[in-house]
Amino acid sequence: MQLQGKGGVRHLAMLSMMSAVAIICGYIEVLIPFSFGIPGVKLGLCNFVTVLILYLAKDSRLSFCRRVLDAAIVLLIRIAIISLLFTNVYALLYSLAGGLFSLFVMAVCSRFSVIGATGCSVLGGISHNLAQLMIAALIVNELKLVYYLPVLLLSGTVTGFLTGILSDLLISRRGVRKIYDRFFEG
Amino acid sequence: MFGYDKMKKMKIKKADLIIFICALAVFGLLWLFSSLFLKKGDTVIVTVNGEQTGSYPLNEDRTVNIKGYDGGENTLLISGGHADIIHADCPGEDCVYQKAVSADGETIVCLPHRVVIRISSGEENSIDAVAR
Repeated sequence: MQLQGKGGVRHLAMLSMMSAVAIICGYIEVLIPFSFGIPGVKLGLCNFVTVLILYLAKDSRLSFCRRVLDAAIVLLIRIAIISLLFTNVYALLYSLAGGLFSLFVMAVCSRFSVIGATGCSVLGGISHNLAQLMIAALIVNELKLVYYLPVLLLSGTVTGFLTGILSDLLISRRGVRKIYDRFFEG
Repeated sequence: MFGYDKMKKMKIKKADLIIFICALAVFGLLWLFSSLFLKKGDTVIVTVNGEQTGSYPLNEDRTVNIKGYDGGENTLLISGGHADIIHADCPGEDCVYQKAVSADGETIVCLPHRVVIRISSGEENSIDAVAR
């Protein structure tokens, strides 16, 4: 990890900005009651920050590993802060499992140029919910939780599609791209 | 803001739509599959941390206090053929907000107290008994 010199400071600033956006998204998510009485169903607004980091810098000179590392750093910071501030500590384990697994899936997705940000976000939402379900089944020692699978699959797909469209709108804007690229100009 | 020109610039690719539709199709299949095998249950089974702590018939109205893992407490209400959790002493109360269950295999889960309420039907138990 190289955070020295002018480029390093800019990089640090970018990571902090993205973390701030992610934490605000988490706050908005807490404000909007969007659960339909099923645990694990949520908007997944924070996910779009991960998609942004993976896809915004695609044309810039950031390498694939660098992008994934950036996304992982922002993910860990936002999970730690959001679960301490807005939700209980139990939620930390679930979001950690879901977040890391969906990051893995989305990183693999962003490698293929056929898949755009929307498809990547859909797969990310599904994998997030899958990982959370697995962890929940492990913790309560009850495999019957698999009955939740269809509902969580649907919610992951729909919310992933919505946040995917949101990030697609942002990525396709030249202004956003410019701000982002400015962080990495020499 | 969402004018046609802007929409044209968006880069939703064919593969994205295929992924979306495939995911919906998988959900549809799973849902169909599970609803085909959904039948009315008749017993409420309570497990705490993987161990069964009680089972109650679904057709008798009653309230049960469940002692969860880590000293937590949940209140289970069985009435009119439905089982529902009406009170929990955890801050989230996710299980209270879950809807009442009545069909075979449906569950209510309280994660902090590791409590799982599961509806079961007698037939399933008899199959288990034969298998043993």
